[in-house]
Amino acid sequence: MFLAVPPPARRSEVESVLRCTAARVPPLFLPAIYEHKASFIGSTPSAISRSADLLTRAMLAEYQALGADGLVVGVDVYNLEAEAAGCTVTFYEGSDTSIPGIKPGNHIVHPGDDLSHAPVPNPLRDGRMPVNIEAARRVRREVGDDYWLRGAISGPFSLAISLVGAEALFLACLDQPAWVHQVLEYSGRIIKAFGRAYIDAGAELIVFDSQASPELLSPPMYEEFVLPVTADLAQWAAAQGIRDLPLIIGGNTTPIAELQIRTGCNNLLCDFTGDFDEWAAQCRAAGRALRRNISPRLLETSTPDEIYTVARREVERGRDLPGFIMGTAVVPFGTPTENILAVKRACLDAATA
Amino acid sequence: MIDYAQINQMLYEGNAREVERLVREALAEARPVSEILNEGLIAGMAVVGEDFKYNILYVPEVLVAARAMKAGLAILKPLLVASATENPPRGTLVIGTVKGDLHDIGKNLVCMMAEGAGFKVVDLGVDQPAERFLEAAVEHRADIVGMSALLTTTMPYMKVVIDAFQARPELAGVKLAVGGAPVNRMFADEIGADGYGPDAPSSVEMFLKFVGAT
Repeated sequence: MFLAVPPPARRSEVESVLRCTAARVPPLFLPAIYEHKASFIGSTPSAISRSADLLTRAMLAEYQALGADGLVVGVDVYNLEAEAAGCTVTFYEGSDTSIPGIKPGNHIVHPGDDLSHAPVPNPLRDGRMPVNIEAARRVRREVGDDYWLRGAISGPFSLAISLVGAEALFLACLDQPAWVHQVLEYSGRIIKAFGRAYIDAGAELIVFDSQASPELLSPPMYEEFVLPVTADLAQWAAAQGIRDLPLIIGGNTTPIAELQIRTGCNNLLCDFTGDFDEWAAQCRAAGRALRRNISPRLLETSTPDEIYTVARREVERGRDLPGFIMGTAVVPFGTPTENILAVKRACLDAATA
Repeated sequence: MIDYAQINQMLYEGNAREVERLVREALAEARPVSEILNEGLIAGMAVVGEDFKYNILYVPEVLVAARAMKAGLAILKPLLVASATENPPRGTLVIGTVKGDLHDIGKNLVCMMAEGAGFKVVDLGVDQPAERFLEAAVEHRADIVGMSALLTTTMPYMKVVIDAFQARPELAGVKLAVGGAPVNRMFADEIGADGYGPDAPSSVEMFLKFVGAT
């Protein structure tokens, strides 16, 4: 496949970084592109998230334009499992580039519901799961096996929030902790079914769980509720042959760095608001790969040169850290491609500096 | 004799039943409604807000505290309405998440804390166009209009709302405040907002300044 930019890392190089065998210069370049995929083909997030054809085209266009070291299958990554389980997602029509979402009130699980026999969606049939699975299959066929392609799955806590609603779930954490464990267990079953379908389609996995951020949930609550079910997910993934599992929680997650390490996920995120030095020290000690993000606002509104300067500084900070990965926060829809490529340039220039 | 520190403590612990009981006890002692509201509920919620700001409390604890406050407030509300001229709200806040954005956790926290600080709160919900903010500001004679956004893609819509207010000279006295995870002071200044709240407690402190209550 034709690439407009230097080619991405081979799968073996990616594995070497994720497993922290050595610091890699240049670092891996993994921008966070979800709704912005649509802009590569002049479409909208709502349109590409509902069509395997459009999602495939958008992902291949992203691959050609950026040559990032991995791709993620997914647009509105927090909605798929909940929608397949019965939640209603709001889409935007025409040229509206808003991101699909679940409106407050459109939740299907109520505190106290018995979920022990609740049905698990079929990823090949329910909601838009088949869209993502088919796109994963087609993109894998196009980019070949020697490339890190990951299917987006929700983290258990974020899915539980989509199913129950944020306030109801947060209150239940204090009022009905045993029931919250049941919801999380149910969430885990749904996520595993979706994950298995991605694996069968030739993709690996990436877990998104930003609703479990310490900006919302205390570290002790993370340890009580989220850690066990996330560790279980990581163990399950390993048993399916997925050795490298990224866990993405946005915001300043420094207070739960150690807990995230204990999940067993081997590629963690230090968002642009996190304490990089603290994160780096913990990941170095534990042998975990660490992605560093830069601000989405910077990426959207600054010049490529300004972005390059910030990205170079971050790349230098991670230069000697085994497993260091340069990323971006979620790229806003319509961000100029040259702005994203400024980050890639900062990575590549590190090799010649 | 009622001890307001006890109401504060029960509210902090999210013990709605005890808050209700103590509020009733205070009323039975013929304590003024405004005193119970200010020294029992509002003062209790202020401590919750302060501890939330410094990561001593997190969202679940704030929610149960707000629930306890609402339980106490529900008892006082009919009495407050009956004596509205003696106990006016500190101000009226119209608040919503802007168009294209369906997130509401942060906005809801601001609503709860603003209510806990004595404001009348009109919550427009999520995905709200500029016209809706304008209509509600006029209808409810808002002192403050608050806009929330979680997404970088929906932040710019805050400027659309601000421009719409600036085009209406009769609404010049309404303070326009913004907040949400990707928003910062620089952005707030750029789009002409009167204020920026980095978190729910700070937002309420700003609202209090807007209405001259601090």
